[in-house]
Amino acid sequence: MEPADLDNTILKCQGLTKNFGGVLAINNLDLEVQKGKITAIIGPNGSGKTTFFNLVMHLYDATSGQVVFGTENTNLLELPTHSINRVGLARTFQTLRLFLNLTVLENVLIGMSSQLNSGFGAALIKPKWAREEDKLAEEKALEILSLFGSRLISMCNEPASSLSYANRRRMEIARCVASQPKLILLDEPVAGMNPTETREVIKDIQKIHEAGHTILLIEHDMTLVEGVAEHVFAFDHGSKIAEGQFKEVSNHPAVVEAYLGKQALKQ
Amino acid sequence: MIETWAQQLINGLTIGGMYTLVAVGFTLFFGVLRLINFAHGEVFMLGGFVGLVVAWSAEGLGITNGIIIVLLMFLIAMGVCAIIGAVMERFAYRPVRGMPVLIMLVTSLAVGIVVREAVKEFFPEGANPHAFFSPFKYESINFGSVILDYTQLGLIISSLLLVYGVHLLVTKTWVGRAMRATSEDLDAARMMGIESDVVIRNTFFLGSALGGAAGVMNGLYYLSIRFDMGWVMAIKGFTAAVIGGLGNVYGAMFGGYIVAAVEVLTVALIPEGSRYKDVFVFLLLILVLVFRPSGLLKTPAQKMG
Repeated sequence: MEPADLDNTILKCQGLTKNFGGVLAINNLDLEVQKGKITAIIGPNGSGKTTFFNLVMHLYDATSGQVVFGTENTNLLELPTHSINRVGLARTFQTLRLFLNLTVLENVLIGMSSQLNSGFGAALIKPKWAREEDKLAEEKALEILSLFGSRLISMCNEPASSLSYANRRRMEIARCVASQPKLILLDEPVAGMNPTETREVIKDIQKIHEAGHTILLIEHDMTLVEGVAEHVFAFDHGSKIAEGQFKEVSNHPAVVEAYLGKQALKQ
Repeated sequence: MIETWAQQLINGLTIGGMYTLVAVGFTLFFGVLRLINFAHGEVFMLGGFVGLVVAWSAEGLGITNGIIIVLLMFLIAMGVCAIIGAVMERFAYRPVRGMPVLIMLVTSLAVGIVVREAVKEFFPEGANPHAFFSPFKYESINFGSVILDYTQLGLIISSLLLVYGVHLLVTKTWVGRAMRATSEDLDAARMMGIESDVVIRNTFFLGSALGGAAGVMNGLYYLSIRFDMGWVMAIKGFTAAVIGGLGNVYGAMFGGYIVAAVEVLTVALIPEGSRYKDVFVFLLLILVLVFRPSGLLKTPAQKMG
C-alpha cells in the first residue's frame, strides 16, 4: 500500500457513518482520495457505495463523521448541495438523471450554472454583458460536447430524451465536466452497456482524466476498473474492507468472500 | 350566424388570455414544488384590487391619459403580486416544503383564506363589489354586428404578449432553464449547482406577477371586482393547468383557451347558458381528472412527481 500523501489528498472521510433507522448503510468509513488519480470503489450491491456518494453531495445528512474536501479542507457535511457543486464536486447517477425535456446543449449549460453570474433582472432584460456571457457559455458547452466526438454535438439541439442509452451516459459525464469540478464522481458509468460501448467509455474516462480531472468512480464492471483505476477501495456492509492496486484488492480474501461468499473461498 | 361565432371567438380569446395567465402560475408552482397553490386565485384577486388603487391614485395625482393609467395598473399590480407571491412562498410554503402533498395543499388553502379575509376586512368597503376603472369602456370597432371594443383588443394583445414573454423567459434564459431542470428533477438540479431556493423564489415572482396581470385584466373586462372572486378563478386556472398537464407551461396556455372555449360555447349553444358556464368548466375538470389525469397533451418523458 502506498503511503498517503497528505498534500495530495482531495477528499478525506473520517469515521463517516449513516444510519437509516437502525440499518448502518455506511459504518465508520475512513478513506482518502488522491488528487489527479482515477480511484474506483467496488463492492456488492447494497454495500453502501451510492449512499457514500449521496453523503458526499449532502443529499443525505450523515449520522456522524467528517468529509473534508480540497486544499482548504472544506467540510462538505455543512454545505448545502448546490454549494458542494460550486466548491468543485460533480456526479453522475447510476439510474440516469438527465433533464430529458431539456436539449443536450441545455443539459450541459445547467452543469455550468455555478459559473453564470447574471441575476433574475439581467435574465429578463438581457443587457449586452449577459448576452455575451450566454454566448461564451454556449461555446464552452459545445467544446465540452466535442470531447465525445460527434455523438453528442450532432444532437445538441435535440431533447436529451432522444439520445440512445449509451449516449445518455456520456451526456451525464459531459454535464459533470461542464461544472469544472476538481473531483468527478461517476456512479456506474458503464452499467447496462455492451463490451464495445464499455471500451469506448473507458477511453472517454481516460480522456477526461488526461484533461486534468480527478475521478472517483463506482463500478461493478471489473474490465473497466482494471483498465482505468490506479487505486481501488472495496466496500462491504458500509465499511471499507480493502484498498490498494486492483490486483491486490481483487484477490483480497475479504473481497472474494464479499462477492462470492465463504464457500468460494474454501474451494 | 357567422357573426355570433365571430363574437364568441373574440370573447373566448379575451377570457382565455386571463385563464392562461393564471394557469401558467399553477403549472409553474406545481413544476418546482409539486404544490397545487390554491392561494394563487387570491393573488389574482389582489391584482385586481391593486389595479383599482392605482387607478384611484392616478386620478388623485391628476393623470388623465388612459393608456398611462392602464400601464401603471399592470406594472404595479404585477410588481406587488410578485412580491406577495414570494413572501407567501418564504413564510408559508418553505416551512412545509418536502412534506406530504396534502399538507402543502391545505397550507395553500389557509394562505388563501388569510388573503381573502384581509381584503374583506381591511380594504375600504372590502365586502362589497367595487366598480373598476376603465378608460376605454365606451369605444369600440364594429364589424357589422360584431363588437370588438378597445378593451378587449388590448386584453387579447396584452395576454398574447405576456404569454410570449413567458415563452422567451422559459426557453431563452438561464432562469427558465433552471426552472425546467428543477421541475424535472430537483435533487439532480441541486447537485448541478442550482440553488433551489432561488429558483423557487423566481418561480413565485413570475407566476404571481402573471396572476396579478390577470387580475387587472379581469377588472378591465368585467368592470367590477369582488374580494371573493379569486376562488372561482383558482379552480378555472387549475382546470386549465390540468388540461395541459400540470408542470407543462405550454399545456397551461393551451388549457386556458380550452376552458374559455367551453365557456363561450356553453353561452352560445345552451339557452340561458351563461348561468351554467361554470358547471361545464367544472365538469370538464372532473372528466380530465378521471380520464386523462396527466393532461390532454403528452410531452415526452413527462415526470409527474
